[in-house]
Amino acid sequence: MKLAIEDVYKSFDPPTASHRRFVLRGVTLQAAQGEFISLLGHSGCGKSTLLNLIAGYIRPDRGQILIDGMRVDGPGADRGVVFQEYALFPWYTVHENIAFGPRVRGVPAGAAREMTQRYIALVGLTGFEHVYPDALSGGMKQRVGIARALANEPIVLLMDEPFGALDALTREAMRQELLRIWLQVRPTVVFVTHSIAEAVALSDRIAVMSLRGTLEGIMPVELPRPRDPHTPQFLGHVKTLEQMLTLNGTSSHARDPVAYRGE
Amino acid sequence: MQDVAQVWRLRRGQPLAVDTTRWVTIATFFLGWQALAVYNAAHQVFNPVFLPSPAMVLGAGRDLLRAGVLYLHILQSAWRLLIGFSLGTVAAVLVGILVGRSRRLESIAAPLLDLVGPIPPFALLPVFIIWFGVGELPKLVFIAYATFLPVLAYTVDGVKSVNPLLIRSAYSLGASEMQIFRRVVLKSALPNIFVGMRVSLALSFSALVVAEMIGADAGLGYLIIDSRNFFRMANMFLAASLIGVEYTLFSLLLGRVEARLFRWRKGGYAHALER
Repeated sequence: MKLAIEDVYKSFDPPTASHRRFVLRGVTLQAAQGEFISLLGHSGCGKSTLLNLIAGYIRPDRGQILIDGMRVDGPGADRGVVFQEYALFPWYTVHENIAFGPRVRGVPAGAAREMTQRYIALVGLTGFEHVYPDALSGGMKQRVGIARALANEPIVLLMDEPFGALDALTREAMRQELLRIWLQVRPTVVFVTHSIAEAVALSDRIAVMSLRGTLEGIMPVELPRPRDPHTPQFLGHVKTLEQMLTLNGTSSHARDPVAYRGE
Repeated sequence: MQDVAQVWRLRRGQPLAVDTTRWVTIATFFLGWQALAVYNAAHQVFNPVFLPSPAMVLGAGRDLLRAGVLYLHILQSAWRLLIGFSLGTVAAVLVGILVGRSRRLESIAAPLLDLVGPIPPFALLPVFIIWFGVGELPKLVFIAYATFLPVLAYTVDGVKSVNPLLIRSAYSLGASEMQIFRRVVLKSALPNIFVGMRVSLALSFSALVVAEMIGADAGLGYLIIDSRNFFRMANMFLAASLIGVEYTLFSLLLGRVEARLFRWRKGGYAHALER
């Protein structure tokens, strides 16, 4: 397994609090090499928290996360992250942003330039190498974000609602772009979204998260890509997921604090 | 001088047409001054010695040039300012980054700054002279000190307002702490640091003049005091004007560096609408 999440608990309340509210409760999930997994759920279900745990920005209260068998202990270049807000370095050009990873990891300038050019071409930004992020549209910024993360050749690519800030048309185009790039590079992807259609269009498997902070279920999507969202199979998946989410949304609307004490 | 106008235009986002007004204003000012001085010299409204004409000031400059001392004063002041200002800025940026990064250091530094900050640097000049003697050192330390506090405040502010997402993203790209500091924190704080430097530049020049008025034997500040002792009004006006010119040049230089460093930045009020 490239990525293994083992019985992870996370609370933002201090460990001394008498009633700790848990955002994640015993989440277990694996991803194989080259697999595209989506985390789907209502806002507040902890899907971004889970992504931040994998990225190493925050630490689990219990359980562990393994990348290629190695326990996650802080952020690292083996896990590339693509942010909803792009998080590009505004003082660097497109080229310098994408070259950031290879450069800080000590790749020689010539090789880094070559790698960077390759990823610029991959995401279709040739001709924009020397433009600053401020001058780019949202969709183009996210292309830079994806290329920057991929240029490090990470084991896992983490994407936190990467198209959430884009308009509907750009979003659709970027979905197809991501699919094309993924098929070409084949990284293992963990993709956070609250769009059911997006999850069905992209994923190998969809992990549905409940508002209680647990995994509601995992749904494999075995449709050939590219997937036409008008086919009955596609719509069938969407319907099932909708039901899982509505049931979940109404049944545990108030997230009651359940006490859990660490060992 | 074309550059002065350009920088002003850039800074204030004004269209080109305003330029003529600008030069007319400046020309009118000098012509008015000249006319007033000439009229006064003829009719003695007040003692004409008090107000030399621009022509007399230029004449005084010519005489000092011929005597070979004007360059000395100009260069002496420029050199002092450059060293003092640079020392103060570098120290402030280093301290500012340390303080801005650590909440503990900040809680230690903040009350100290509140304690020392309200004291105008000029009040401390005699202390500096007693501590560091009457040579070059107290002047440089004094100018550096006047530069230090504003740059420090802006640096701390800049470091504290770095977008945390950028730091996360740099960590996930494999950057070390030192690389994050250089490529993210410093870069992000730099515009702030330059605002601090702009504020400080004016203070540094004041400090320069004051320091040169007390116990120096060269420099434009010294020239003012020396001219007062011999009641050479034209020389005093000359020295004051030259300080203004030096300030303008330094400020332009700073603007040039800024424009170079911050090509990535756009926006601000002037860019909101196309006119």
